[in-house]
Amino acid sequence: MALLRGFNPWVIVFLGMAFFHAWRASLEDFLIFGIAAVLIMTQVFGLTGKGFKQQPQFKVLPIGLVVIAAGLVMFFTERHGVWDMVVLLAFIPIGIMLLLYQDDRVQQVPTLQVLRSRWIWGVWAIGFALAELVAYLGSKIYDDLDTFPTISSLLDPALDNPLGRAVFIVFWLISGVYLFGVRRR
Amino acid sequence: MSWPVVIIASYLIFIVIGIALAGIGKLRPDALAPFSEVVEYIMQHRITRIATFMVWWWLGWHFMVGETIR
Repeated sequence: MALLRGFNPWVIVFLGMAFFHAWRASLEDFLIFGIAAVLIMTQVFGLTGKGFKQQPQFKVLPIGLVVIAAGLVMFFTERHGVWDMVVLLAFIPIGIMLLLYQDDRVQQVPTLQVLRSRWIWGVWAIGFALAELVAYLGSKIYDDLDTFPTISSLLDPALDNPLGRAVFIVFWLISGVYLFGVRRR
Repeated sequence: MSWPVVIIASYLIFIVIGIALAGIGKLRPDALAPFSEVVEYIMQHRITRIATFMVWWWLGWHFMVGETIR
């Protein structure tokens, strides 16, 4: 019975992604999704009770300063460089602090509209991922990224530009602030 | 139509659909809950928080640090 709990949909998705990245010989992506699968399994198997009592909240000023600083680093340093790595790795402890709080004992009951919206957004995300997968598989089979452009290959020219990198990181961080509710409550 | 056109068009169509869904959620919350409400609901669960964070963080890593595999 305990083993069956391991068949949480998120575990399946992340293990699937880990094996997919192992197949495409991307060691770092394999490690990221593999570690994520292990982390999720620790939660599935009952370690959900540990953590902060509630989520820390931040004021606009420190959030803005972090976003601007990350944007400046991306603007003035080379893509794929050590500083990009440092900035990205810095967000792991920040993420742990922001997300490892205890779930409320009483959970919100979703409305019909929320359930409908969750399904529709889920189908949208899977569809988008499948479009990317078709492009990726085509580019591998025919060894031709021009005929089968992945999102990465399309964004590469913009992200090779300092301004493009700065804009990307700013939008990426703003989406994180929104998704993880750093300013929500 | 050639493959590049089909693939790029499919990305654009999904982006447009995403914007439309977000708009419908804002304008007709009685039909479709706004995206922010869905996010607030799913983020109640720590497993979803971890999963979402890992995907979000991976996107940053993938585009900024990782090399595009050709």
